[in-house]
Amino acid sequence: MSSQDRKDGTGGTGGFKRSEAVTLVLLTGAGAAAVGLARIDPSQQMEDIRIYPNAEACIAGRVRTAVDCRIEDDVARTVAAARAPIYRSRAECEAQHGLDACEARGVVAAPEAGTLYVPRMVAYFVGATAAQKLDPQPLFPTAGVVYGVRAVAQPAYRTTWGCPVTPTTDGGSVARVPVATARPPLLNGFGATGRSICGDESSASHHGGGG
Amino acid sequence: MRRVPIGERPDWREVAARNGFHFHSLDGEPYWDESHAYAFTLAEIEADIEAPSAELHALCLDFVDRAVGDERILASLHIPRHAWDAVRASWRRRDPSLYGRLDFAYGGTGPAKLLEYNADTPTALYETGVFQWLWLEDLLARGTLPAGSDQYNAVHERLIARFRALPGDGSLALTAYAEAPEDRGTVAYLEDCARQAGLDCRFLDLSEIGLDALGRFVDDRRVPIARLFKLYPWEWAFADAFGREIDASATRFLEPPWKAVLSNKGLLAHLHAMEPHHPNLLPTYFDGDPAAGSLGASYVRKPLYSREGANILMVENDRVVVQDAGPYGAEGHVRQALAPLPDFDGRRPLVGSWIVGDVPAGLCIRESAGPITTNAALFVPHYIAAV
Repeated sequence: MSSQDRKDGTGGTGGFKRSEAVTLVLLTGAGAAAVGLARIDPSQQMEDIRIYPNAEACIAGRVRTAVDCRIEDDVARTVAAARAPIYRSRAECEAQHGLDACEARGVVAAPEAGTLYVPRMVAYFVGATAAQKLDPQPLFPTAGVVYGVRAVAQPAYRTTWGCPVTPTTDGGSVARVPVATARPPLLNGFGATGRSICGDESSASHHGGGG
Repeated sequence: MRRVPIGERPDWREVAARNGFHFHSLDGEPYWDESHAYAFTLAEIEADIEAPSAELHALCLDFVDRAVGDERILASLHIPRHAWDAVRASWRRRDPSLYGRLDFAYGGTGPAKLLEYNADTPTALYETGVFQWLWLEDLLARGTLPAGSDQYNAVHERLIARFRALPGDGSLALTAYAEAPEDRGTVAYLEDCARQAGLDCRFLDLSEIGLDALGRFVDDRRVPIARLFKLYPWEWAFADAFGREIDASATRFLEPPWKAVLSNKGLLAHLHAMEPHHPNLLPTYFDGDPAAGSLGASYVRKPLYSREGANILMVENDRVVVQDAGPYGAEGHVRQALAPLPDFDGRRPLVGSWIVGDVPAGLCIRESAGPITTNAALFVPHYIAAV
């Protein structure tokens, strides 16, 4: 799209007062897909965590009381039941979490009927100290990836929100991870006021633009 | 300024579909109306709209500078105290703004009178910058308008230039209520402009914005958001659960928090106090100010936060002419001298003057049957008549 008759002028100032050309890349066709740029913040703080496959391993570690170990294991399993990442097929799930790492959980109704899959929790983590006030979180396995003949190092586990967690020693129970890995992000912190002002939680009658 | 029955193009709906304009009718009611158009002279545009817009925007920036240093002003605008540091810091950093729209009562005679400044979440942007522009080009090509006809509308290229000039890492997240079609359309248009400016864009529903344990706003991949365009007013964001986290976060916002000072009807009372004899400003006072009595028996009462004409009360000769319903008003009101919208064939156009960055950039007209412009107003295109 370009403005025709640009040279005619308006007779007043000699220049036009409208855009010379108006082009759209996204709205009119297949716009280029956005490429995500991951950023690393070197200043981020770290948290020390303990990783256990189950309450028994925690008790055997003799760092925490048996009662605490059992409670934390229970909490992590409850979180896993509610928050494990969901996949539309076993293959998709196993691609992320490895062979035999997934189980069926729930079905989708028609028209996209099918079974949903989630990875099984294989461990959980807690804060190294109670003062960290970290909630116990489930950990899921990651699939090993091999490119050509070289195995590419993968994190041992991922959290429900996808952050990688790797023990400092192979098979160990100690890890140091960024704060954002140890603590799940809060969501739904924006938007509530507009919905309540409009008195409608469900329909599209509310909107934030206008004036 | 004339209202010209120019006739709609028989295929304009197809043109709209080809160009991504999918909200030309809302809730089954038409919104874009090209059966007629408003014609301006170049002098009307430049002397009566463009120049006063530049001057008033500059006055507004002076006011922000004053407001951030004066807690009484921030309190008078009912900006919550917990948001003051975010407002102040964003201004002191000179966080850039993207756009805003000054709304005027103007009918071609006398100075345009500022009714309000939609400085935070104005819509009707795509319709102005793209579809109105295409309409003019089409009418020129079809010979409906003579060569040399023009339009006050550099909105599109100014938006792209503004995005291109933004500092930062080249990323931009954009957010709105994804399920609201007009909002989603406006944000998709801005994303289009931002991509043309080379920015790496990502749309997020408001609910997808997260706050991580380091106090960073993060996207749905948990990547920190460096810059966020939000089609969501600051007064709502400040009241939300994340409203207290804005100042501590490193995210930069479009519009920046300091726009909360301008997107507030209290601005109108302060501007009038700063420049009581300004030809484009109407006498305006906070409700309860004894000076409001000087307005006499005719005035308009507006809630500080109201948008789209909601909760506006119009009084003429002590009679309530119009009272619009809506959710606003608990935060307080201003009273503004009555400046009726002009009457063209029984229709009332409101002139919206776009500011992109800090420069006037174009015009849109929304037309109503009644004296208050609400979200049921029609968008009507305009042109500058060839000499």
